[in-house]
Amino acid sequence: MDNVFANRLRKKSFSLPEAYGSQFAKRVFQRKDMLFALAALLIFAGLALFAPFISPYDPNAIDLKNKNLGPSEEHILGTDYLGRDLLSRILIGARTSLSIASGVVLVSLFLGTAAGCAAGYYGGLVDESISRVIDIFLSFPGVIFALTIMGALGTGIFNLMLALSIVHWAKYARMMRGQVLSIKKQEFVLSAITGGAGDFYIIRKHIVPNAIATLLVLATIDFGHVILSIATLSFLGIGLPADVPEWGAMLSAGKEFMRTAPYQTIFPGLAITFIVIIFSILGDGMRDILDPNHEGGEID
Amino acid sequence: MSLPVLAVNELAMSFGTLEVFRNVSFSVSRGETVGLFGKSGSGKTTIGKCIVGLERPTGGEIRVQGENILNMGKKEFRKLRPKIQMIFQHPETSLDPRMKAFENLIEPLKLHSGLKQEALLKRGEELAELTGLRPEHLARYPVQLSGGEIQRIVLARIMALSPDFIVADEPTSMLDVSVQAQILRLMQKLQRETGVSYLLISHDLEVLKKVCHRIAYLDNGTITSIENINRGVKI
Repeated sequence: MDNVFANRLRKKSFSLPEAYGSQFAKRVFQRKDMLFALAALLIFAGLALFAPFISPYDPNAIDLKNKNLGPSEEHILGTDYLGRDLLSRILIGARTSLSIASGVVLVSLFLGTAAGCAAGYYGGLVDESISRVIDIFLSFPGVIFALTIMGALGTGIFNLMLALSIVHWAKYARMMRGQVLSIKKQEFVLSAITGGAGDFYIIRKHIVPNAIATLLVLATIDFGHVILSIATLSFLGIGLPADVPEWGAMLSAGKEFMRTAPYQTIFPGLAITFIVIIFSILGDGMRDILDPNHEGGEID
Repeated sequence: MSLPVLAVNELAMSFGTLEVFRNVSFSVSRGETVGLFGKSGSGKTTIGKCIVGLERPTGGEIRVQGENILNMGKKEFRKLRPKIQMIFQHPETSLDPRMKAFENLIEPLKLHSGLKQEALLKRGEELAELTGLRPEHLARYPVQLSGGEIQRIVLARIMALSPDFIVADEPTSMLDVSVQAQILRLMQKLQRETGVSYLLISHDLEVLKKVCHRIAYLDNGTITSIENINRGVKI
């Protein structure tokens, strides 16, 4: 074959097909709800990232002279029962919730992917063992399980992440196992086996890349659930230490003043609702785009 | 007398109490195409999968160049594996959908040859030329290729390993008639050029009669007869 072939292949001078990534982006841009959710998430993430610089007050600065103030020019969202600025606490709280949720989702995704791959790919006793462990973890109600773990470990950011990761990894593992069971029977995997590829190579190059999209949908939806779990545990007083601004803890503190200062629960409640809705919309949108049975689904 | 490339002796397979096939025996010589004909669900594909090591039969032996592969250790069989390849029935799932055609094509070379990037590219070009592929085919994702183009890439990918023997499991059943003929012609060309042997599995007797030297008939879970075909027809 002449060099033209090689040169064209190297330079990719012929028209390249649209990559999966660009098709995915195109589908996202066709959906107004996802665009709205993405924009809202970017704003939230930006506020969380720069919270220490844009917060008008120190979120932990106690000012008893100005306690339980309503929204005003000085304190846009008012102050809590210790005179702490609610806007500053909500901004720093976004940082806390988003960073803990990111950690929990990443750890759960990693653990679940590894366990699900091992169970689905190797089958037999490995599958039986891992599947029974998954069943045990999924049989406990999530919040009660997390409460028990936090009760044993004590409060703290690391302990909260650990407890929630222990609660959440199993659903990723179960979904990954199902994906692997389906993908490993596909002919391109059988071709790789007959081509002499080893187990680790097949899992890394063929199984995970083809299964991960479904898990990313789960992770997106689960992000909102994790934020709710963080808020729930903090609301119950066993999530984070009292000096860490967090939305659930703000709700818990504000509930005592529901009649006299309702904004102390309304604003953190709105923040939680808003972020959970954002992740629900993103997760639903991703599921629709990646689901081959859904109208407009399957990237092709 | 030289050993057959493949000799299957009294092969048997059961799933629990369900017997799929028994006493299946046939051999394939170098450069020969043997057809395996049977109804859907008769166990043809399972026989093919046993030969390439994707299923473990419950009885019998499979000899490749005289060695029973069922007695081989994992490492020993892995060394032999490139020599026994399989073409699968469904073009749409034969290549990894997340990898471009060229990446799919050179994957076995990457695994076995230890070639560097430039050498891989060169060998990829040779294989593409051998199977009549154009550069634009290789830069596409499988979903953007036709069934015939995918089967060409599958053949190129398999030929990268210089196999002695290929199990072709209904390689043309999902293709339209004109493309079927192209793929069968390509398989015959590769056989002439490399001396590769085929076990061609099909439920289409007309196709088998056109391209096979012999046809084994599978019925009721066993080989009932093996017919010699005077292969005068060139597709």
